[in-house]
Amino acid sequence: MNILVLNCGSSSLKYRLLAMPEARELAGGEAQRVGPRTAEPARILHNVNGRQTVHPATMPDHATAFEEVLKLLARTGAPRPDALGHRLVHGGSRFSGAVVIDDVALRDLQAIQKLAPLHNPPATALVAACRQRYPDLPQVAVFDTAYHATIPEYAATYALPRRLTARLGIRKYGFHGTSHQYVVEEAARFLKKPLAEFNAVSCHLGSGGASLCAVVGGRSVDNTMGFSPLQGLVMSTRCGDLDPAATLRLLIAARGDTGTVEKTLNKTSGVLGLSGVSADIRDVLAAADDERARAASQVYLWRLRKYLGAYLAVVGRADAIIFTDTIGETMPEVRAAVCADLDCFGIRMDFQRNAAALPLPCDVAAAESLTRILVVATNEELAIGRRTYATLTSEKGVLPCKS
Amino acid sequence: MQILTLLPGLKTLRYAVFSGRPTRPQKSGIIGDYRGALPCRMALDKIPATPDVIGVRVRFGGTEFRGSVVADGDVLQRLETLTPAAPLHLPAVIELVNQCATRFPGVPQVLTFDTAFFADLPARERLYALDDKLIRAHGLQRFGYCGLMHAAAWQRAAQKGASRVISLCLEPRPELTAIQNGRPLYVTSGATPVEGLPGQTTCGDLDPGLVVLLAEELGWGAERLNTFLTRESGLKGLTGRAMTFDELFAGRNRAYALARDVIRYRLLLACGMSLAAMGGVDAMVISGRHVAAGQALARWLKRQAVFQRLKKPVAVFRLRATVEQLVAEQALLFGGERLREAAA
Repeated sequence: MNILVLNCGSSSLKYRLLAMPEARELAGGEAQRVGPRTAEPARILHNVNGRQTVHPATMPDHATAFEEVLKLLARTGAPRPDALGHRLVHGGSRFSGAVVIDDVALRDLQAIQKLAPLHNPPATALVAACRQRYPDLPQVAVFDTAYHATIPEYAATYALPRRLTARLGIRKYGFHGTSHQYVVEEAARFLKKPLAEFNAVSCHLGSGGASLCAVVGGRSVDNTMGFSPLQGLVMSTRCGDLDPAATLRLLIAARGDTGTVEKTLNKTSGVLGLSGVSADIRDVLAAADDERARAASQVYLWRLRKYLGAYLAVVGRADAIIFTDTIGETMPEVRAAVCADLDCFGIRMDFQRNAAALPLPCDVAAAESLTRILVVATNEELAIGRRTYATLTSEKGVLPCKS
Repeated sequence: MQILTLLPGLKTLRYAVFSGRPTRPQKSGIIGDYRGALPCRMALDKIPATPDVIGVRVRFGGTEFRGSVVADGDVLQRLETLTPAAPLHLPAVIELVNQCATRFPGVPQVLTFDTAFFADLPARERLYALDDKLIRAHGLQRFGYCGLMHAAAWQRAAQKGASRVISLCLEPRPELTAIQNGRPLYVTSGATPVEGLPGQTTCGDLDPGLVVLLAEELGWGAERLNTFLTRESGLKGLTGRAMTFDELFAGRNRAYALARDVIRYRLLLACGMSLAAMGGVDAMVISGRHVAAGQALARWLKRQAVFQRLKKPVAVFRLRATVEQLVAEQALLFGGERLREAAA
């Protein structure tokens, strides 16, 4: 079965065509600058067998981008996809696992769009467009929140009046679940531990978003992101944790304009806001002689370290700390700063091994460390492809988040 | 020597009178409606005291006040510049200090600041990941708000040889801080005491997106939201009724099990952060009005794997001092000096 995995960004569409179940990649790429025309022309970077070609295209929305991708696949001799696997950021309390799209599921997807106003709407619009144009093509939605459906109630509850939180669906959902689940399974396999006995703290450190996940028995028991992907760690342009009264103060300063505050907290805060130099923590770590950049790096690393401590306390006895995604995989100094002086948790890093952590997966803990420190390459598209395949081939058509 | 302590609150003024050593107050009371020049003067007239020194508890001193000070014109001016950051509290303090100078002429007034202990919080802990301009325009940086208690807790533990201390002050707005060699490295509170651990009526940590969502979904303005987050949330929100930490943890009512679990869990997270901040822990000190509940929570925490695996078990101490006693101690320390200077 050839599955086309689709991952909508706000102005991009990543895709990968996978032959399942063997998970062979047939083609992949990214449509860039999807949406209103920008200074540079929209284009598709298309990869086949490790060779990249660039294709200009007009793509005013994600549905058009999808059509262009289909045309490009046909033109380059790739087989027609048998099914689509969509990445959805937020599944709300309605979706605790991957789901085959039908009219009811689509309607529910549309109903929960506002839970993740930046992420869900483009993906939902694409699902709707695909269903209209290719009604016979099976589609599966895979949710970033699904892996976190096992977070216990006491960890997911905000200390707000219960009647209101129930009515508005306010709770911690957690995100990056597809990636956390993937690297947790990879790590357990690498350490030859049964997943059901595997405890870990998974650190998904992307160049944009980032979150930590506490894992007990292979299941998520907490995630630093909350109701939305705004809570927790310092991210490239997202603020992470903030005093609720401070948010309120910003709302007053914006004369009650929620859009302004939302934009401030999501787009101009985080590493970008603090450093004033760059939204990319790699640039900021490199700009060590700039005072603001140095402060930004310290805040970024400190928040990470605090949450690592918090989740090690939750997990109790961790088999592993897992680092993944762009920053987690390629920045040894970030891993070193976060793992230094954690003897009290039984953690000791081999700093030499950490400096050259290749090939992945790689264990960079010192021999005497009670907890392994692993660097694992994430692969969200493959995880979505697997989940899509499993969902379509399982009898019920709906697969619980734990397979 | 008679010491008068004054704790100006949002609506009421709490006072206590100590004779000589700040142990048990001779007299104490709460006076309602003291805000504004005339009510404040009338409130002070009701206090049966002829103090030699006065201690005033100030809830916010920013980075401006790093320790207790004797009030004078310069100090009042500096307080004035801080009022935008605490617009409800500081004007009442300034009025109180002025009225005290009339009611008790010549008596030194010592201002003690809840935030002073946290004035030197490291930048990595103090800063929010916001645009520099926003931080400066709104004074958005992290402080702690139970500094007097934590300072005393640190001294208590340091006397017993501890150098890394987790201090939990269980007041209606609880606060936990990690103190290494006398300096706080991590604290649960934020720009205000609303952030951090949930309180009896305050929400504690929230996704910042939620405040925006509530404003949008419910069409609430800032005032309504503020009331919601500070008066209707916390234990009250979780259990559906007003209750203290002592009530919550003394009872076994199954209906409140979730609230107990939420508080325990948030404390466990805060302890994990403290351990990461200090690279370990020697002692835990429990203080505040609800010290009984605090001790039950400390026992629970000690049973968790993260504490069990420490090479040396964490020592738990209890601090019984009240805020009044600590304010009186400061008044004696700083005001007494002023009196001796005057006498010399």
